[in-house]
Amino acid sequence: MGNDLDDIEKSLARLVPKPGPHGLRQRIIGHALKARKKAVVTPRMRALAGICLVLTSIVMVGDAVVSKWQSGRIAALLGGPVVSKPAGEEARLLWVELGADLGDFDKFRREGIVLSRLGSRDDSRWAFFETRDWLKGMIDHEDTENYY
Amino acid sequence: MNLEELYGRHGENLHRYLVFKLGSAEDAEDVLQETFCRFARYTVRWKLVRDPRNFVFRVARNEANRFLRRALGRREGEAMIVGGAGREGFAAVFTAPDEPSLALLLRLADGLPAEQKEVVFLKVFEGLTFKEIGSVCGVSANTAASRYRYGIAKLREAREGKK
Repeated sequence: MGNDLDDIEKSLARLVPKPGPHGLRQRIIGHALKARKKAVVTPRMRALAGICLVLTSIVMVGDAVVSKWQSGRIAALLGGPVVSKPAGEEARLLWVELGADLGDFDKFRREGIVLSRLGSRDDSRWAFFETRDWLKGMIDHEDTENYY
Repeated sequence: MNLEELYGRHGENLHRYLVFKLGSAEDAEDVLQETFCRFARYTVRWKLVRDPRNFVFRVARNEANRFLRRALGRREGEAMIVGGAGREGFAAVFTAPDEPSLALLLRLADGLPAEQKEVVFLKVFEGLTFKEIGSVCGVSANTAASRYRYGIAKLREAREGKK
């Protein structure tokens, strides 16, 4: 088999290539150089576009991070609705404990008040009792004017 | 990449390969032109290429397939790519010196299936390894090797049958 392969290969290798067309090299290279000159997006432009893309991405990500950080700081300064997870849990416990007959809207409003009260204090146990008493008082004397 | 240098190294071989693949010197010239225009546009890609010889053949092959699809339409182009556009590919590129056995071999080689013919061409005349041929044709090195063996075996059988 090996000899047959060699034999056929050797015979094939004896075939003579026909000469290429005259002036092919000049035509091909001339066209390629023209194409390079006429290219709409030159290599330099492509590199510039890549750099711009990277810079834009950095700016966008940076902006998002800075905005988030600033929002957090502003919310903390204003004592806004920055509610810790344990505070949310305690608010739910309070609702279960109180089980007051309130409409959905009021419940949400009340829960919001409770959450902000719980969340605005470091010592959550004290906050829990304080809020429960405050809330009980509100439910006993059902009066929307006094909620805030 | 310096185009003069690139042509000096691979231009003639690529032209021969394209004539073999397309069966027409005019079409081959057009495709070679497109291929070099493509090379001229590549800048970063050249820095990533590990085996330039392998790469230039692959680009030329893709360009030839694109040319066939464009010229014949998608369906007919695909059929031509699979079946082989250059039915007399070897005869378009080579001549047999005054020796009847070589003329016979040339005819027989053109009778091989397109995929085997291509592998035989790239191996015998361009000196590519099976791994390189696999990369150029988009098949594994083992597939390229078995196509080559089948092709050569068919040539041998046909030649012995004609003797």
